[in-house]
Amino acid sequence: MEKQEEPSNNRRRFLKGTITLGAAAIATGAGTVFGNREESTPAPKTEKVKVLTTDGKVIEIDRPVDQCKIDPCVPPIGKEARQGIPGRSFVMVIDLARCKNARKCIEGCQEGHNLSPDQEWMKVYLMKDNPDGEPYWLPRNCFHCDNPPCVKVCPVGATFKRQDNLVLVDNNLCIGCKFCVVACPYSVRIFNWKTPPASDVPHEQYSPEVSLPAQIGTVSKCDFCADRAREGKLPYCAVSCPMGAIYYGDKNEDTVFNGSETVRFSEIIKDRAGYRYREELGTKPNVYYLPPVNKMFDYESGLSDLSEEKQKVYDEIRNSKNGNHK
Amino acid sequence: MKTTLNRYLAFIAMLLMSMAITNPGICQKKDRVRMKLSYTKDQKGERSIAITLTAGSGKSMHGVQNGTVSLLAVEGDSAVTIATLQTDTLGTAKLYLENGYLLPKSADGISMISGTYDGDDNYNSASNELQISDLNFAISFEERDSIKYLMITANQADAEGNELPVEELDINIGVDRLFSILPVGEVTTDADGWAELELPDDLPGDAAGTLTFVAYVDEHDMFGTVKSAVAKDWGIPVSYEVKPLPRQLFTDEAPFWMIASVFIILIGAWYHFFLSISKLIKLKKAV
Amino acid sequence: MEAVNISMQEFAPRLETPSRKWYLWVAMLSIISLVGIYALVMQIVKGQVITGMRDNAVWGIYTANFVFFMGLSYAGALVSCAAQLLRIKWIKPLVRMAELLTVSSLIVGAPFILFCLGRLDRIHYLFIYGRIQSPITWDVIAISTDLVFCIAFLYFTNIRDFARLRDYPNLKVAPWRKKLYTFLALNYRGTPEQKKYLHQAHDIMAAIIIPTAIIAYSLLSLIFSMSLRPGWHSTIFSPYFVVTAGYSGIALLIVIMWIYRKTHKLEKYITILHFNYLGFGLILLTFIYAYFSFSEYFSDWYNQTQAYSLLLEKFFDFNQFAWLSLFHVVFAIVVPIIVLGFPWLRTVKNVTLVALFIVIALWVKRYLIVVPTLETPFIPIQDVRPEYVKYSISWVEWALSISGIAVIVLIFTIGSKISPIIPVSEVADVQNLEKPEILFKTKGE
Repeated sequence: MEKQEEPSNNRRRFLKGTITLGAAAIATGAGTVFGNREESTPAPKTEKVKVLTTDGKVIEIDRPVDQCKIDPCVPPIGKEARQGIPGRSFVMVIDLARCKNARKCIEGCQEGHNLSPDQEWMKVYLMKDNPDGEPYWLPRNCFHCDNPPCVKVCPVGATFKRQDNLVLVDNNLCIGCKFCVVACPYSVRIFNWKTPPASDVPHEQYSPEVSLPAQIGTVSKCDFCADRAREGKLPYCAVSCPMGAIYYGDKNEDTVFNGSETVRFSEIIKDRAGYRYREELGTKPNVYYLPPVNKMFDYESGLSDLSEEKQKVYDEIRNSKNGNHK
Repeated sequence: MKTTLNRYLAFIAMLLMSMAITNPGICQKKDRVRMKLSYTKDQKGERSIAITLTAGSGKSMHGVQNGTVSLLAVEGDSAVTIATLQTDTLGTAKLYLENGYLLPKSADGISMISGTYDGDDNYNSASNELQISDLNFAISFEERDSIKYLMITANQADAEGNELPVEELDINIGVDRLFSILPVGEVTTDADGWAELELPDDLPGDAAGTLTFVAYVDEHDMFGTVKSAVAKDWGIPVSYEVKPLPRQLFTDEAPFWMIASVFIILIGAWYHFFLSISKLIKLKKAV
Repeated sequence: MEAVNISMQEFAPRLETPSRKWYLWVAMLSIISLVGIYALVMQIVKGQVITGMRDNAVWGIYTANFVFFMGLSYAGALVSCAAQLLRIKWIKPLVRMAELLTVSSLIVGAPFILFCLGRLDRIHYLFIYGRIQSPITWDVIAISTDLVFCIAFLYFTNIRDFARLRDYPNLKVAPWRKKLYTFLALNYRGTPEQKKYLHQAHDIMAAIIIPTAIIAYSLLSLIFSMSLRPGWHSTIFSPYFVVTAGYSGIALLIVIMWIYRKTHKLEKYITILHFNYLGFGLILLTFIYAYFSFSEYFSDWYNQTQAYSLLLEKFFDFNQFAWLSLFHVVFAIVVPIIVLGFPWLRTVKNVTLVALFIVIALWVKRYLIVVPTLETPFIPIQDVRPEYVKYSISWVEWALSISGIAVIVLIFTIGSKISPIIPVSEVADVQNLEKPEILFKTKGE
């Protein structure tokens, strides 16, 4: 399970982690609390820890890792992966007022999912809603719609909707017809045109929740990092964002967390006028946006450190009379 | 005359200082290391001491790997080494304390822990101290006039094991969630170490409406990080049953009307196909 | 139609041992087809990175070809089945061409959607894990049904000719072919009872092929209109596709008819009358097609919603698709109306030439349906890699497309060696019947 080791290494940011870690212990400690959740034996995962015994000796013992928040901790493989995590309803809230195109979410996601640099599950767009509108940055991952157009059109059921809101791709089933890529109105899905970068995860352990290893000729997209949620960890994009613009959580718990701040989902949506992108399409996304009002940064701060070509693309949008498009 | 001399001396001193900073010959090549000591007592009552060594600043900040650190219990003037640990890739070493283990305490119940790091070819030595006082929470619930209250008492044990109330302590109250603790409020204890918090009545819990309330102080100078959790069925029950998705366009199983339509059309078409084939069979036989 | 005397005597020699020239022609077509197979192998080995398709324009001319070839097949089925059902005698000489066109374009067209697949090794998943909610599944079912029905119908209309060939004395063909004719002729001896059964089989098959083809082609359009995309999400797409299909198919039928008339010296059977009737059909379809095209774009242009406006702008931008749009409008609508509409321009050559340009323009139309929409997603493309912003056709796609055409020609070449290109028995039936009247007349050459 190479992948699960990696995240902790990734999290150089010392992630206000004490809270998360401490809270993680509750799940196993107060198991009765979650009595109604489905019972199954989690794969024993141990770590070596140093313990100071009562007689003053330091010994090293193996003990279960306290990182399992959802049973089972190991992402399911094959058909089981089509079942949602019981009782969960994952949502994401992206605060547009905080995004300054630092592009760390993209990098974090690419690193975590072993994507090549040209494959972006998370994208950041420069948007300009009307000719006089102030441009703003729009991070966009998969919206995990409740009425997903991509899933409807899949001829083999390789992409599927789960009860915990996730829309995932099983790349062992995908025939690569790209109909889902076409059907998604948000240009979320990408195709593995060539052999994807090699992954540490063996093929036998492939789970749609982990999306690794990727396969040539199949479609891939944001998986909402359900495998990390099982360990009580936020998605790569959320932990990577230096601005804390990405909140993630469980709607059933009415809680979203951005790595440092925990808020009630219903309250932040109410107070900040949260909306969903292109509601009129009827796709019922599970990603909410907080409007870019009282921005913490000028959008132009996101234009520095960019290549000249990229600047040019953005310049066309900034000067556009058409709003978003050139 | 005297002032000029002073200025002259000051100039030389500044020159030397700047040399010391810029000249690698004078200044040691080693990086400055900061040590952070922290004490944690979690909901299960499990105690641990963590030592983190960091070097560099800003973007170059990193943990010091494989550093040998010693933990010492300080009693008056004497210090006893209680453990020697190696830091991991993040520069952290953690020591768990077994349940019955008692840290040496002073008369007022305070344990002094000191950490030392000797440094190596690349890093300077570092040390730090940590005061630990064992903090305990007692949490209870009460409903008055249909308003729900969480009541908490903070106690601290002295050397003899007597419980003394902790006053003026800010305690955070939250609800345990998947990724974090959702803050519900913050209370400050009174002279009896007691405080209460009015709880919101619209928090979703699990299937039984159970919420896990967590009282915690974070990195307190005296108590470190202390957490205590109690479950209470004061949440709004949320069904955790896995309901199969209804037959829809986006589910694995197609709506019945769709299956029916496709089959009716197909049966209609292939019936005619086989009908015409049957005519050919008749044709072949009719000679 | 003049009553013509037709007999197998005229056609049998053409089926006998092929000439050197014929072999050369077949060899050439095979080589072109092999280049396509090579391209396909390269695509499978190296992945679709060697095509011009990328994220955004994930479909390219494979999809355009798919729609185009399927469209060609539709007209053939319609013509031959309508002729059978409505007892239209003048079409009879064209029936076999129409059916060959249907079958060959189905055989060539259907694989083009498969070339889009990233994992050809998982093709069987379409049947094992097929989801009935997906338009692709509908297509798989409809097209395979259509293909079986059309092959069956092609065979049905050949039975009597096979019987004639079986009974033809001294037919100089390989023994296996004689055996084949005997087997395929199903003991047909022309007894009244057999005639009745054959006629019934014909009628039933023709009656079921017409709705099957309409459904198949409507479902094809749903691949596009079920997507939430500007330019695709259209309610009239199904009838629009059906009309376009018929339009392109009739046009190609005229071209094929002309070619066979010239190369096989069939002036006796394929007369000016056929150019009259089909030419009339063509101008009728031109107007219907123009009407549908206008309806499709006019309301969107009038409303000017953002996404649609961006798409429409591309059709008028000469750096984008304006040249192609112009070509399409000129050759699919304007020129046909002028040439077919004015009697002094309406020569056999001109009608054929116009038909050829209509076929090409309608391929361009399919390209204009597929590519510009894919290049105009709701969220703007902010990519610096030009190939991810704009689609361009790679050699692989060209090779496969051209070899697709080669395979169609090959099927015609071989098909017309197996049985006469003019259905001898059916035309013989017509000999003593009255000629249908039509007001529309084409000037001679």
